[in-house]
Amino acid sequence: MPNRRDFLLSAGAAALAGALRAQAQTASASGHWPPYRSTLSIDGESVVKLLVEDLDSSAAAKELVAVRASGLGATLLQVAPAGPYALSDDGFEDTKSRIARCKKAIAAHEEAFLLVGDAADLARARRAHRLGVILRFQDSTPLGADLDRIALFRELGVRVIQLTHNGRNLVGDGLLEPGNAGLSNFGHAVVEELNARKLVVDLAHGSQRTIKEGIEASKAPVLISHAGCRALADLPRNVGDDELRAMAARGGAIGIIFWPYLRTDRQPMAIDVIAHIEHAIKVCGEDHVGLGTDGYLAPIERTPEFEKQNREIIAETVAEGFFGKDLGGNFARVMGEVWD
Amino acid sequence: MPNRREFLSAAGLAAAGFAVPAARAASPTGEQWQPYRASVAIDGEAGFNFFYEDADGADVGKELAAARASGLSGVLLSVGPNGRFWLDDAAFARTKAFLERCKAKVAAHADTFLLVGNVRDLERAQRERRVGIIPRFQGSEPLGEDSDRIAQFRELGVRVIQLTHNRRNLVGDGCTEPGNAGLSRYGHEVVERLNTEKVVVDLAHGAQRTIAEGIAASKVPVLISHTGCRALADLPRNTGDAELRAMAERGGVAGIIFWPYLRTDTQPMAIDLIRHIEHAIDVCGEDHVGIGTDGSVAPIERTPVFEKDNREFIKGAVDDGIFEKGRPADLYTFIPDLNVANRFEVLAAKLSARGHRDARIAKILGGNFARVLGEVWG
Repeated sequence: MPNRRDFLLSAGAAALAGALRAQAQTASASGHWPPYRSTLSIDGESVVKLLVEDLDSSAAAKELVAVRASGLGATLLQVAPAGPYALSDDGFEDTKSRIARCKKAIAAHEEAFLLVGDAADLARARRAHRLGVILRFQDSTPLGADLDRIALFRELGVRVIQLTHNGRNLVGDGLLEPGNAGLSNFGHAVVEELNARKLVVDLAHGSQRTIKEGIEASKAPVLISHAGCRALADLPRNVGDDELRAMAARGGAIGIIFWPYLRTDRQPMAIDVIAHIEHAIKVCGEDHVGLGTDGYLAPIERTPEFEKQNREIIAETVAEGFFGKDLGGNFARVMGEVWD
Repeated sequence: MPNRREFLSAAGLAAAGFAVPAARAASPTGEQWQPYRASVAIDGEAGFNFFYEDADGADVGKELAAARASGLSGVLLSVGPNGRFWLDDAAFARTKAFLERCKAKVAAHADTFLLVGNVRDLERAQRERRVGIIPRFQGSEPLGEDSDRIAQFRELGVRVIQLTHNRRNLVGDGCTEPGNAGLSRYGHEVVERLNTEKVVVDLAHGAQRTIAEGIAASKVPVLISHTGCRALADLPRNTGDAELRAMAERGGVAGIIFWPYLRTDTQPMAIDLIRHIEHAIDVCGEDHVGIGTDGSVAPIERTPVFEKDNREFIKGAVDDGIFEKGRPADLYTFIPDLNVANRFEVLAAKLSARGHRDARIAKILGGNFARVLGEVWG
């Protein structure tokens, strides 16, 4: 089964490659907030294509412009394969080579990026106006059944490990598992070892029980790096108030996602992101809310080719059960009306 | 953490270097049951130590003698490793090598054994007084994340696949997982493929939800190859009445185990085993009960060295939560008054003495297992 989430990213990238060869869009947006340049802003999950795939020089240059224009102090960047087939030796090797590739790309553009290993690096990135890159796993499957790999991956630079992607792994259940399993015995051992090795436990993508039990198991604060609030949009990918409260009570933070999990009907806009942020602040307090866009750091150029591929991806993602049917149906309908 | 359960299986004993006592010269002993030699007796889970050794060791003669003396027509033999570290490519290769070695052992001792691929092979084994070897996985780990391997393993001879061992795997939860997860989506896919490829779904060792959902998911009868009844001994490794009933309604069979899960206090003896069999008959009906000893076919020779090693093993198993605290230091994973090669015959005689009819006894001894294997294998 293809991984729709990965598919979405790569398909989006492919669509954009052509667009980016054309006239560059200026990466600035309207809207201005004076304290921004002196604020440490962090994206809980975004993709910097330059760090994870091969770009030609003009695309790379455009990506660097977008990185600088973002004003972000840091982003969490996923460097591990997620979902099926990551448990094999190939998955393990693939993970290590993705990490190496990412670090090499960071080093090759050190005027723009900085690999973040600790909090001092974050401050340094901010001061130097470079984008701090925090290596993150989107799934714990690269650990296999071997706790010792946690220390190994930390040594290689990984600082945040999300326990599950959408399916079941040896640790717990992802949101698409109707079984809603909690942590396994191995899952508890993984959380303990992540705590001991000072890696952040990330519970995004978890099923309700996996999120709840992950919060309870961790002795250190956890992240839910990219998710929405179920109270506003009752979808499996979002987090309920009980879990949000428990996460906040133990010092964690949730990053509000930019995906269409924010509404169950039509396309979410900025006001919907804000509604989720405000709800999360109400439930968790302002010390426990952040942003995790789960998108490309560079803006999407909405070419006809992009819109067509996007429509196909949305339809498949609906079929996979990620979105409420209405939302996807409306997406497909509206885009069909506009572009066909 | 070493897995004490793995430790205890015949494979585990040999692999872990645990002193395996030599089998006593295994002549049939004790009570006899006249129809035994004409019955198909099948052990839902048993082993021969020499299957797990590269070269035949000194005890092979005794094990072969025990095999012949057992009067068994079929043994489900665990050829798939379980537990941690069985999801990588090396483990996949090891599993295939393990399976090949078992087949080579069967071929090398063709006067005693016969590899079972279908029900005709079972009947032939019975006719020719050989022990039919039915390769079984004790966990779905060797499948990795690839349900296509089910067809591949069937081609190599595997005929029964147990979904989980004691731990969680990608398919479901084993009985030591407090999370009690049911089948994952991949687990449902695996059950569907097992059905399609005519490989038997075995739910032994599963957590309650994994057993319940495995029964519900399978379109053909399932086995719970070696287990006890929770109603008599409320332990995670045993199966509750609701699951037993659901399994029976869909045509399956539960094999009653010889391990000390049959009681929560003292050493289980043959009478305890019989109580579990009778309870299972009450709940499931006589068409849905069998025997799965989960021990070596050759009787255990209870030397002083064995007793010492066994005490250490039991202590470790208690530490690991396999057995509850407060059990006797000398607890055995076999039934002391059935510690003979022809234990199925002795058990049959005891069941007969309790008033069970011969036709029922024949079903319990293997007729029921043979029916399910036949239905699934086609």
